[in-house]
Amino acid sequence: MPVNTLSLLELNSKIKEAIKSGTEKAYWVTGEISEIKINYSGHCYLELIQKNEESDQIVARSRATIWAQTFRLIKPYFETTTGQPLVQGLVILVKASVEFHEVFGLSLNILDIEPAFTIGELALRKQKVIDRLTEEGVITMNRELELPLLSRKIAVISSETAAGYGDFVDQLVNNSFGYKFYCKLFPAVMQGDEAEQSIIKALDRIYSYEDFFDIVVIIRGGGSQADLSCFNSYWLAYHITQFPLPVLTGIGHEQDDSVVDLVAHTRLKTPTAVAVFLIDHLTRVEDALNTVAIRITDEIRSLVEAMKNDLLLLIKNLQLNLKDTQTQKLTGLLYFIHSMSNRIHKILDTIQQDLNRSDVILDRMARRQVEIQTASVETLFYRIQREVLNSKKQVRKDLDSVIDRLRILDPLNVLKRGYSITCKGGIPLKEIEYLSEGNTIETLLHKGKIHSTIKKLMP
Amino acid sequence: MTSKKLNYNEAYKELEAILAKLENQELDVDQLSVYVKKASELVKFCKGKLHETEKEIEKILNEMDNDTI
Repeated sequence: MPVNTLSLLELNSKIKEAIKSGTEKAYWVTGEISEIKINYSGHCYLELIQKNEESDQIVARSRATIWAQTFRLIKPYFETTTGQPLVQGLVILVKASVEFHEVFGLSLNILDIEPAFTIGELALRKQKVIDRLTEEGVITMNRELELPLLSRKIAVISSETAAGYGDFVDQLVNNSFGYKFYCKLFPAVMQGDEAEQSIIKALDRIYSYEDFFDIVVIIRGGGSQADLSCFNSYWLAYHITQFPLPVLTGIGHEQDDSVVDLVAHTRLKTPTAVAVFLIDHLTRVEDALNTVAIRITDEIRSLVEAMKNDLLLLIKNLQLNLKDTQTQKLTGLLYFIHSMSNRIHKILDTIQQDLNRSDVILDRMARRQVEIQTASVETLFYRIQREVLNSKKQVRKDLDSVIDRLRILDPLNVLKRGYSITCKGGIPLKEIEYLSEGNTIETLLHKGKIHSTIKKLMP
Repeated sequence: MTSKKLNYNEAYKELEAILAKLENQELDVDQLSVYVKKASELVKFCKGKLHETEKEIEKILNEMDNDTI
């Protein structure tokens, strides 16, 4: 039997002593939080680990404690500086002393924390995710999707209880323009370590209704400091880049944009801002629609105007043609043309009035009235086309008969019938007064001319 | 899932096409009334999509409730 035995307490006391003398008063140590618990009296118990960067294997582990008195100071300082609560997964830099307790064993007693280190660490991690998405060529994929003109069927990912969702829906439903939105909530956990998987699951559910929805909105009501590291997660960001519908975010960050914001089609600060954006979008879409409608109406109006001018010109030409004939008998025809032109003018005027009135197309309150107006414009167009066509035909027919009658009077037609014209120096002769024997005269026949010398004149 | 006869984007593009034809004077006077009718139908369709409740959509949304979620 060995002589020098120790009680456990004696041994632990020795270890305690050895640790106390072998370590400095305090060290600045970096480590990742793998567990964190706060008990009822306000003490914070953690487990810190260190992982091998390549293999991700744990190479060191230690318990740590932040006593309530210290924790009350450290917690708000850390949270306001980093915009992030102390949660599992964070890498922190702490000032700690090494303690050994005979009953509880080894533990680090945390005395202070350096939030700047965690900020740098988070930024680095975020940058790595961004770099990976960029290298994979997916980072802009959701942004490249076209926002549908009619974005009104909205799949909303949010937590059911958050006030943010209620406000968002209220704002959309009660928009002052009377746009009709349809919202469907796909509930998800919006913070903490469950959030990543929960949001991805919600996206998967929406995916099965891909054809139905226009867009996806991810919103989160603001409020207390929450663990939003899920919005910097690679897999969630990756899912969003690959999603076939545009994803809009209103996650309510105090700090910089998250990776999810970065890959989203459109990133906005709050749920309210998303609602405003969607209402604005439909306003722009409706403005564009109104502009096109107005321009179409204007174009048609000017086309009718052109038709009117054509008609005027046609009538003017007809009148000119007829006046040239100086025939009294054509008064009837002129009268006919006048009355025809008046009728057509009247019809064209009606069309114009209808077009003026059909500006109500643009006024959504009077939509039904427009239907009637448009129908009447349509029948009027048919009528005017028929009228113009018929009157053109009729006028042309009448003009043809006038021309025919004039043609009969053409001297050439007289020659055709066997008469001839005798001229001297190109002037038709009606008497012999200025002629003398020996003069040369010409005789015009239907075909050909005769040159002859006067032998004898008979009065 | 939904049988989309005409969607807003298509309707709007068609309106733009009619406008382009009018502006480039590619439209016959004979076609004018046809296009007036078409344009006013399309505008009406788009306005309806923006402002009117569609029972069909609400039905689908309600069915989703019983379904997956």
